[in-house]
Amino acid sequence: MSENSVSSSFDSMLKSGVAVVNFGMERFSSDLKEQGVSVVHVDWRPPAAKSSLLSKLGKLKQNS
Amino acid sequence: MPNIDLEAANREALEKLLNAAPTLIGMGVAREVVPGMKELGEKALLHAGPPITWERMSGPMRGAVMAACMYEGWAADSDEAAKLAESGEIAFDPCHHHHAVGPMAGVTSPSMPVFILENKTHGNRSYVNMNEGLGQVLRMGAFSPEVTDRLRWMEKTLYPTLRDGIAKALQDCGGIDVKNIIAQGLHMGDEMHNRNKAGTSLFLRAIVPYMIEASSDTAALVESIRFIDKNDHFFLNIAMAAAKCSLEAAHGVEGSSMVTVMCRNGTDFGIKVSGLGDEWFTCEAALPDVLLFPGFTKDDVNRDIGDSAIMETYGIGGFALAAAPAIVQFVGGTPADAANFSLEMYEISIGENNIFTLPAFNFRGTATGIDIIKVAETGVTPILDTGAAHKTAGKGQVGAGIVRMPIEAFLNAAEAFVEKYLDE
Amino acid sequence: MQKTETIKGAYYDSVTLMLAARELNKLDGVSSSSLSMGTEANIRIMEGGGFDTATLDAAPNDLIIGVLGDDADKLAAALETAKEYLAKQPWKKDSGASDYKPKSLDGALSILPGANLAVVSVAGRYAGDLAESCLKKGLNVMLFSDNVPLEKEIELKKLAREKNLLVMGPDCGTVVIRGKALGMANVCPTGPVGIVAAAGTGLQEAHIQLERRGVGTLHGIGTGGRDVKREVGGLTALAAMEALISDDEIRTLLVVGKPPAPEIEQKIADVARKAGKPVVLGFVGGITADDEPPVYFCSGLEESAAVTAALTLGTCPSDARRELKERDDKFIAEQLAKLGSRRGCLRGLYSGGTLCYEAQLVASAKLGAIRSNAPLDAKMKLADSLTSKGHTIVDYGEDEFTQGKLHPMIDGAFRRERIIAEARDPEVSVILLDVVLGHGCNENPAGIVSSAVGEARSICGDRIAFVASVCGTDADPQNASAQRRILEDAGVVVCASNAQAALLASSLIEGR
Repeated sequence: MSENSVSSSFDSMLKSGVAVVNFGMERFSSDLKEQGVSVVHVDWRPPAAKSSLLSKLGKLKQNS
Repeated sequence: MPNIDLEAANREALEKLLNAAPTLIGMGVAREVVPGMKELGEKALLHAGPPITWERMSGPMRGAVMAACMYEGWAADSDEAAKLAESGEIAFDPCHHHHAVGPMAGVTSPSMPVFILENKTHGNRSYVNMNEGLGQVLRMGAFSPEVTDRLRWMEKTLYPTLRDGIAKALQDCGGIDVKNIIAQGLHMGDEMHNRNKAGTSLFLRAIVPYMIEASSDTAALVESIRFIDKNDHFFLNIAMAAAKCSLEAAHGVEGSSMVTVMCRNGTDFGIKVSGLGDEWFTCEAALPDVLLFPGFTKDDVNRDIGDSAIMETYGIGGFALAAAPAIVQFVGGTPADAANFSLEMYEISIGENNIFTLPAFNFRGTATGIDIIKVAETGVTPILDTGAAHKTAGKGQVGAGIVRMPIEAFLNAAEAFVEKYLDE
Repeated sequence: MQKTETIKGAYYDSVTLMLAARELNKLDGVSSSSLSMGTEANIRIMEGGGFDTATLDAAPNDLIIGVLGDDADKLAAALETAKEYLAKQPWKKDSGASDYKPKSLDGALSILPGANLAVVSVAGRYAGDLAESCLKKGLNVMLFSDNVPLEKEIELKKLAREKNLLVMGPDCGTVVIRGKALGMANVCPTGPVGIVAAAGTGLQEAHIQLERRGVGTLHGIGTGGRDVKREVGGLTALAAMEALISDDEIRTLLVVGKPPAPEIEQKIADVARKAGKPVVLGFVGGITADDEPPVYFCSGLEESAAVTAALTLGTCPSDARRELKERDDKFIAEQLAKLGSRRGCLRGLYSGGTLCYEAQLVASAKLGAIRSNAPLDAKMKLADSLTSKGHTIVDYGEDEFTQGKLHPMIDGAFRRERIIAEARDPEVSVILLDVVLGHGCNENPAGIVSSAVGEARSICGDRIAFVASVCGTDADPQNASAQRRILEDAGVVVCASNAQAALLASSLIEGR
């Protein structure tokens, strides 16, 4: 399963409307669902890894 | 160090894992056939999990060690056995250092018969002893006479019957295709860690004709077949060895962040990573929060123990919970929860299995190839469903349920990974 | 002590019994419990678990329930509860469609590959890195979180610019895209208007005031409070303006908020002049310049909406302004006649930051400098945000009120307490409030206010005039007309806009 990436820009979002990934307050997800907007709520929790490790991992993935 | 292609390295490691063809080709006595066992000395015991000394061993592991000493005739009772272990005369080494695995305490002693599996694609082999069943058993840390009696019966009666049957199967069709049994079992309600009923039934079906062909001792045959029949988990050990020889083929891929060993010894949790050589990354083993059998309380539970975490490393067990919804009752959950646990595992895996599939997900392959980088980034660790042992040696199993692996070992491995591979 | 009960011929599987035991152990007064079928083996296990089984009379097909504890009554109750548990099995959750909630961005994208916007409202110290990873995956970001470091905000916006994406925020609570409300926003019809707002309630007020004039809005882009300051350089505001200017679905552009840094305000005005379509710049308390059609300069939120509406409908903006003034003059006169002017102090209690700002601006024209926790004039900062002094208008959305508490637009309890407290102050003669509706907001803000007003009245009688505006529409979940009625029934004077409410409130106080 390769990493996912989407191709959109701000302009294309204005044209097509939003499809949302929500991190944080669940009420935002339910409000969007009520309005018929596609939304995925992420069960996000603070990262256990130190931010220095996370940024090094990011660089590693970028370089490769 | 030149920049690695992380995606390509992981793809290679996963492919090697998926292409392995673990086949049961024979049996032998540990001392004779397990590589490096003789070299450890006359009194040597292999155990589950990362390296550990007698001083640090938990109750069930010590119980298993004492039972093994008595089985081998090195000690007459548990006190003598404990003194022997304390004296330093026994060489302790992880099963994993010898291409072997063992469930729960996983203690494998020189006289124990072991299954021999061969990965027909890459040629490497793995080893595991026979599963004793439930109740008062060595692997749960019990050391009563019942334990050693049973082990002796297994050595004298069960072993030759099985060994000769497998030899016949080898002659006839090259051995027993273990991967195939696992794949079928997943479609029959097993997840192949805590539920192995279908796998054991299919194994019995495959081996019995050969056992009968190879032996004229009806009494031994009847006893042996009945023994396997009564033990729903008999196939677990064989499946664990299949996972072991598949994962070993995937170890040593430069630049791969795939976990190839994941295990616990009742005190520590440990992993090894394909692109990080022989280094162990360890931390304290989890304290399982499981559904307790009657008569036991939370205070009775020992830390997580066993090499059976290799099933999840292989992409089954907790990663295939959606195949065995019955297990989820152990956390008061629903079949939907079983599905959700399995779905979560895709987020920390490199890819999906090509042979082990989940009917509940439209036959989607199970999440396979635990990626330490994804674990570090998401904070999600593998879930296992496992049995929990009593922390006092000899008291057996206290419960079963779903357990999260601790994250520290994965974070340590990720640090080592960037240390080795990030060109800064 | 123990209590046991044997139920003849009742069979339950072992897992159900274990789950029931686990629930029983959670009960107060139960130190340990056992539920098992009455086999010899199980009875021995019970003994091992501390039960005295000598008097047990059970067959293998009977169910034995046992509980250990100190209090006989509690144990008896536990036995009853045990039987309820076996009957109802409360640990069995509804097996309905449990939507899988992914744990990571990648997990989310595998479920919704067409995602184009991340909405982030996690704690500020994590929000920046999370936003960055979303940008790197090609998602625009609405960054609701605040307490994101300034340097991170600039980094994010530069990265977004490279990728033709937009970061709305930090501290952006309100966005509207193709009429859909994101965060705390109202339900209005769509139309050919685009709004760029450096402020949440600024956007909300403009949005609903346009709706009241029959004009819909297609997009309302929030930039976050810090965007138009010098350091960030208006990166989002300018990018949003460019996008809406080149969007042929947009006929009129409105830019609102608290005043930007002067050089940013200039940049915005320059972009507006070159736009080639009408642009209304409504910086509350910002440059009051002469209009340069098709660029118009307004200083209030309702005024901005009125001018934008006129330009969109093809009517005359000057007429719109004039009508607004005439309406307000008439309304103020009527209310003064009804309520009478009075001495004393004005206390404004606000949930929306920009509405608070606008209220101070309007009120200070009549009353002189106003004290606040977020004052127009730094010298007028309250020593203690909880203690008013003289004419005071407080923003309950500021940090000191929201540590560990929900935003006042979601939870009105804190502000409610203050309404009562102000009523007790004999110097207070007017209380001014905003009532903000929409998605993401409290389900009945008018109810909370009216209950507070009722309680206040029993303390202050007619001494205090309560003045409010409702920032919402009938299509909002709360229904603006219904909310208005609730307020009016409680004796609150409901005005047409925040500006009018502030004007009325300050006009009721006897002149200096």
